[in-house]
Amino acid sequence: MCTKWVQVDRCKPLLGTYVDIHLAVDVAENVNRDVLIAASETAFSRIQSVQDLMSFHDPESELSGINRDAFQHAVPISPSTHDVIKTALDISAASGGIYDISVAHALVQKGYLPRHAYAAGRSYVSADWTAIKLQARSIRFDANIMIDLGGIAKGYAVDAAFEGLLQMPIPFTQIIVNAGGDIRMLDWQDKDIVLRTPARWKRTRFVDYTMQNTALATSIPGHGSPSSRILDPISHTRAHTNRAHIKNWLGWHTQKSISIFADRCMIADALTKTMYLAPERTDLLERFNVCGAIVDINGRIEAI
Amino acid sequence: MSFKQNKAKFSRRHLLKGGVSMTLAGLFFMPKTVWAKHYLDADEARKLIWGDLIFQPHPVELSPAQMKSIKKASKTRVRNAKMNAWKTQAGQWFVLDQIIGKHENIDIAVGIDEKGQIKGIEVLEYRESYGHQIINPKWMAQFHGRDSSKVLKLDKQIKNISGATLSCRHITDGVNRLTHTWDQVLRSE
Repeated sequence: MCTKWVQVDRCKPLLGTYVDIHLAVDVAENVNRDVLIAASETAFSRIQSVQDLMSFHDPESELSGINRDAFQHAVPISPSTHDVIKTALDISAASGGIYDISVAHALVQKGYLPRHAYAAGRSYVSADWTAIKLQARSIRFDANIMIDLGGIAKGYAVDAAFEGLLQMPIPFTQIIVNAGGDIRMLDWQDKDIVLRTPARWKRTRFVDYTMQNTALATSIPGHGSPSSRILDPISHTRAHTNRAHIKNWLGWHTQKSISIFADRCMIADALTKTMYLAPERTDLLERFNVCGAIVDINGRIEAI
Repeated sequence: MSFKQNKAKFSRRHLLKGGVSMTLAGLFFMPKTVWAKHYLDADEARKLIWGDLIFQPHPVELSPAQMKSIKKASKTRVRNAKMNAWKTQAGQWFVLDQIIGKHENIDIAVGIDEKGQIKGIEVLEYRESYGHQIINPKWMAQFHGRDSSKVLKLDKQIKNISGATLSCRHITDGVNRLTHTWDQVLRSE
């Protein structure tokens, strides 16, 4: 006898991308589809609240308030934003500044992030992450910097939605939250996923791979929305113009994607950027207990 | 006269060149990867956005002048004159719309309240294509009012793809277009 599931699939435009939630419960548990839809609604509202707090694009977000005032005085900070910035600073410290959320000003200058009204007439500088002074309930900047939580907040939103679902008294057999490729999966062992490597000339590759942990994120610098471009925080140049971009046999610039499997999506997302900029830092994989996969333009996979 | 001849030659040559390169591109460079995933039915989306409110079908046909004016206001192309819409007595709307992006073709349901505010957005059907199909009207046409997962048997379902984040800008643009459509047309319907 084959097992049947009651399941719900939903998708909403959030976090600047498509957020897809899949919920499944064994049919024997007698859970109504409406219950699952209500659960997914709660998960979406959690994601929405992370977006409301940490969006750089929204001038009313908590993050925008921090960017506006944290150089002048300490700004109170919510526990969620605190968690994300704390994790970002941990990764900055471990990677020696290869991962750095303070590149926002350079991203604005290059036109990858919007120039807000509050930033007009202010002379922001490009310092580094060490200027961020995070306290338990407040944050202050030592230099006139701006921070962008982009990908790491997206990972956090996925984690928040996922963990919220786990706390519900519903016996889920599967939960999958996928925010534009930042994926968190409950029953992940031996599950297949697809890694995508977009390239020029529509030569997009799709490669099957097996999930290695509960969370997965992938980065392909230079693709997707302009804000997803990765800037090298040390040289302030676009990542693909220096170390990570390779040339193929015709001399064309081609790309690789980096996927990281971790126990939290927030960690996975931040480390894709770090590993892209510093592929030699395999010690970081051990330090954060993650593994990864690199896919090149021809769909070849290299496990890291 | 001679100029005209030259021009004709020029364009013929280009046509030929274009045709050859297109064929080559079709043969070698365009994998026909299509993904499709069905999310909610229209009724489920309506219930999610509006609960048990009672809606009457209220199809709207935009005039060419209205389409032009909406395009100007929203800076987004208006593809369909016919709108699949439902309305309550109190002036709340439920609209089914199609979003066409570079790689994606998405059916969405949008709730607009009596003040023109967006009440909710749900993706009903999502299709992603890496190949030439997305710009082919015949390929597009087969989706109208259908569940593409049944039409396209060759395809895998969109399961869990991890890659560069796809921007949802086209949906944002589409919803903006609907907001302007409400402002110019639906509010006085």
